[in-house]
Amino acid sequence: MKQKKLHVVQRFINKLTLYSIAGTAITLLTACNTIHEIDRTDKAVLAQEGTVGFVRPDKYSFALFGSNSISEHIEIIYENLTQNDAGFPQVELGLRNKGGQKFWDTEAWTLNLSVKTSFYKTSIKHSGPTSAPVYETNWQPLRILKGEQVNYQAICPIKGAKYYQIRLSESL
Amino acid sequence: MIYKKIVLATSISLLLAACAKPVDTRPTYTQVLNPDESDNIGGSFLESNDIRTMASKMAVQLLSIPEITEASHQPVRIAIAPVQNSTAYIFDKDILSRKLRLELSKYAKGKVRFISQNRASNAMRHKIIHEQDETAWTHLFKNAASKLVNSAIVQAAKKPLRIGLIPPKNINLTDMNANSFMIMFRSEAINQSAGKLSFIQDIGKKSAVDYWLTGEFFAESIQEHELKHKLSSASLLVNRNIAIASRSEITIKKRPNVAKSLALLLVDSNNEQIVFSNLERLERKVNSGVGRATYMLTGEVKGLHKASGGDRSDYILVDFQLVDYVNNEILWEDSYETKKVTRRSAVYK
Repeated sequence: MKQKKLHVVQRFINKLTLYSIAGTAITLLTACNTIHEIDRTDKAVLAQEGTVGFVRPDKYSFALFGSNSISEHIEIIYENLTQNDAGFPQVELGLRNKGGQKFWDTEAWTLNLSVKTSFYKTSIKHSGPTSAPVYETNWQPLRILKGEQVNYQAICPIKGAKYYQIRLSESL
Repeated sequence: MIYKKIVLATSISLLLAACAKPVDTRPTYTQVLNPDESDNIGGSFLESNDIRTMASKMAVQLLSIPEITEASHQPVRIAIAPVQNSTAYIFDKDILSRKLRLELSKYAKGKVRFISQNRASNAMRHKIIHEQDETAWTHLFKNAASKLVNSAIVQAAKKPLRIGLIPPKNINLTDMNANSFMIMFRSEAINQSAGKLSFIQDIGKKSAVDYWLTGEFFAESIQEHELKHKLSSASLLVNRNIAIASRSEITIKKRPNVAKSLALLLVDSNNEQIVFSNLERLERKVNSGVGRATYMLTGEVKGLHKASGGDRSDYILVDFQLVDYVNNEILWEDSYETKKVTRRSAVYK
């Protein structure tokens, strides 16, 4: 009886070994793939993106309190999409450097940012960008002194662009 | 026991595989940057990011002015004057106007056109136009021969006219192969005359010919100074627009860029009277095209430089203007300014 039990356990271990070896082989073989499937952005996440976004910092500094990028130091005063005298779409964004607002981050300093605006003809309101922008500015330098309020303006030289997205980053 | 070890090793390898991350693709020796990125070399002058930002902002502002959006005659043609560099830096200042032109051309959608002012492409343009003119010479001589054959003097002649050939005048001035022209014309005239013209080979026997066929080359718009410094004691008649010279020792630059014409003349051998004349344009003057420009784009880079110890500060002001060259009015003006301080100065080229 004992002999039989031992045999069953041995068979089980054998099976486990087989599966383990197979699993390892599959895992290692994935490294041999020449083409990998790329993740698609979650449309639900894209749809929740605002028209103004701050890209993540180079590196998160401290996990506990987080590093919500320089967005912590900036507030948007206004955000308008209009047309200039020639009928070109024009977006204006009022930004204020309000400094640190948390007990662990009270300092205010001058911010060196890079800003890029993309203009779209198709709606991005409830879906996020679903097509290429018709016009994009380059990454433009934007320096906001502490306590200063700046008016960032971007004009699209292509008429009919009704949607936009502004990206702000640490100075590139 | 051995199985436990195998299971443990497998689990560890699986965990390690889960922690795998892509290979760092950053190059070791040469880093490829986006033109908007900082190269961290130092320097306090204009960077590629500044030039791109300036062009991006100015182009759209320029395309928005009424002189372009509401222009009655489109496209608006713009000639670019060289950018003036008034800073302490030596750099390729044309990079500013070139980037601005690129942005404008990209988004103007035909509203704005620029006059090409590239020296190399203009040289090729000269070649193309001259070759086109040369291709037209055969047709040109056919027309001229037809006019001569159908002229009253040839048509009214009761016997074949004997014609001698005299080398044409002013070949040095126009740098034309005169003999080839005359032979081509003679050949065409013989073909079309159906025996009404007979050309005499020996021009020494004056009595043997009824008429002399000769020509005179005209070079239009040769500038006076261009001739003066090349001539020593040549006797020639020069006027501001037309230069006529007798065969002389004058030399002129190879293939001057002037409109060149040939007057084919038939001269009575008895009284030296011109009885037939036909003027043909052989070559066009190749213009730069700036004469068709509606407006002129010009710019200047100014700087305020400060240095102390190892530190250096530069305030740079780039200014562009669209000028109506007729009345010298500034129609549009925009500027881009930067101020940078650095502890590491850089050499700009």
